[in-house]
Amino acid sequence: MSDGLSVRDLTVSYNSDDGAVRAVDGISFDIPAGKRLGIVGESGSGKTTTALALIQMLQPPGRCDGGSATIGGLDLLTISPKAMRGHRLRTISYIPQGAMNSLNPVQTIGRQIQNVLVDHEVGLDQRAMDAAAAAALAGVDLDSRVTELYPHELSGGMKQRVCIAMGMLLRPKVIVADEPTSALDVVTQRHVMETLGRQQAETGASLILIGHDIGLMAQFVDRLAVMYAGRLFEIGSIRDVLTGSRNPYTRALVESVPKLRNRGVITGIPGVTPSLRLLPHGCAFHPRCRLAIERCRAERPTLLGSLGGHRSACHRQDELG
Amino acid sequence: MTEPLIELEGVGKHYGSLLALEPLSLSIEDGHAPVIAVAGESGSGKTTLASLLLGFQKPSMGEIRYRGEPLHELKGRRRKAYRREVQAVFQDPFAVYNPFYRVDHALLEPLRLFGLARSRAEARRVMEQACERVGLNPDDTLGRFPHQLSGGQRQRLMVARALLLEPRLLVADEPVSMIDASLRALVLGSLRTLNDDLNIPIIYITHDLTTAYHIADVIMVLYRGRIVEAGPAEHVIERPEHPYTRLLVDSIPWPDLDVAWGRNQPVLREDKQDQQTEGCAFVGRCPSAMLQCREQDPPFFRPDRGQIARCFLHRETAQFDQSELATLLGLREPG
Repeated sequence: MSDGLSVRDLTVSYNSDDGAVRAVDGISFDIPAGKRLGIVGESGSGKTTTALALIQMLQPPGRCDGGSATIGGLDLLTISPKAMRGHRLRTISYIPQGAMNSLNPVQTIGRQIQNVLVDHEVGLDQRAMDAAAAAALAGVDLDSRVTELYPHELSGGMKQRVCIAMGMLLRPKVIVADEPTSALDVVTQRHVMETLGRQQAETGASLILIGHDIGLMAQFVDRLAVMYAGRLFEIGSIRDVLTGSRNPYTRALVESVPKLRNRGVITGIPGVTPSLRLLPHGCAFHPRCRLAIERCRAERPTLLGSLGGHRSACHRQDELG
Repeated sequence: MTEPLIELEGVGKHYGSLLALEPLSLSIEDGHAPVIAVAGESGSGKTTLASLLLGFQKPSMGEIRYRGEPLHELKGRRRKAYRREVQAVFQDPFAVYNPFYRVDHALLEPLRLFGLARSRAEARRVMEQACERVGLNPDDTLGRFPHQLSGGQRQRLMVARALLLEPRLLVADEPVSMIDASLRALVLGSLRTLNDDLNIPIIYITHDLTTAYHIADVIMVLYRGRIVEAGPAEHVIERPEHPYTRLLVDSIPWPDLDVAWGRNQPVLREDKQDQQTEGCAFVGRCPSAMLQCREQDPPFFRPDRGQIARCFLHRETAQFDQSELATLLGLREPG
């Protein structure tokens, strides 16, 4: 398998005074080239930690405890920090939440784009770099005039598209977009997502979209993974997960989203996400689950189903779906 | 006749040369309690409207009155009464708590300030009642520190805090935008209950039309400081009449695989932000723009007894007189 990203048993812990806590607990998934995987979950479910592990940007006390993330024979988790530096943007790009705030306020956009080319020793002369910057901006519907502007002269949506242009500049094989539109209004959000989707389709990259907006996932991804308390609860095609979920947590999550049809019906998931330090025994969701039985309190469900198919971790999944 | 709780008369706001909110006249009377969503993108003027209602800013034109008295001349007891009767819930349920105090502090302080509880026991009872009203279990909530509660719980506690003061108007500025989607429903549910049970009108400021659709009775859509469409929520969302509202509605990512994104209208490039002085504010982005739209600012039309839309596409229909706005929004009986 050389095409796409393969993640196996990814495990991340944070050390604390009370011992290590598992923020990501042995998750596995594949994203073929040109496909999009969404990862949803509540705050603290481990979705951003997963992304940071893939680009080796976990900050201590966080550390990757095991697993692999391979792309074309290269394991992103085990290469040296120096090698990783070369692979960021070239092999894997990360577009963080509020990426627009990561632009340097005292450098022009054009200069910042060229920094990428210089840093990665692409070996272009000045004219070619100018052309590359203009082409990158054109790819995200921005005028080449933008190269001369400073970040404060752009709107939030424009800045976010500049970040996408920079992320795509070296045509990476994997793009990790972590809530790329959470601070934007719906019209701008749609524009940014369409831009990102077009760029990804053109380069055939594998894409991970992290977020908590099920609606955005429904409109954008091919497959959806649901995380809870660092564990993968369900993964499958977007249609399987949205319309034929075999996991009560996913079902509750999907039901909590306002839809066009059920106006005024407002449901939520009562209770709190558990602290990773004090995870309940058995299934981590059982204290909030309407279907919980004795077995759920005693025994942790494993993720059943074939890799690449529809998989769910729930003792009662056969009664659902 | 009693004076309205809050009355806006030609209230508008400039920031320098930028018109943030066009003059608006509206009165909110005791006893009529719609949930009014004010929706729009960044820079539409929605937060300006909230901060004017809350007295954080003075209008550049017009006057705001509280029970007949100009808001900015209120003193002493009257001012305190206004501060109690008009309550707010803000966007960030993390920043509003002092992390060193138990969450009770945020509830006890207003009780003390307004002298609403005579004893510790009474304060406790009032706090417990307020918690239960917003669906929180008092024993699991009171006595805790902010970091021990989820964003949704903290925000519901903020609703409970507002509730303690028996407000007559609640201004909620993006109350769920920083909360996990799974917990939003619970906060919205507690706002809805408040409105139903206690008859408190709510001004719900948001850029998210999906939550507006679910909680609001009426929606007012702002664009660059102007109302472009207003009316019953189901009309505005299900059959939007202004091209800007159509663009907004069409950009909502519905969690439904059969309702594809943007099937009706292409996304247009951003506005060039030029301050156009004449004509419709939306003309630069409008797919249906006509010559007339560049020359003249459209008045409100009311295509079919439902919502009003400020757009020449509906010029064949009846014009709408802005003095009827309060009736349209359910703030006043018709007639």
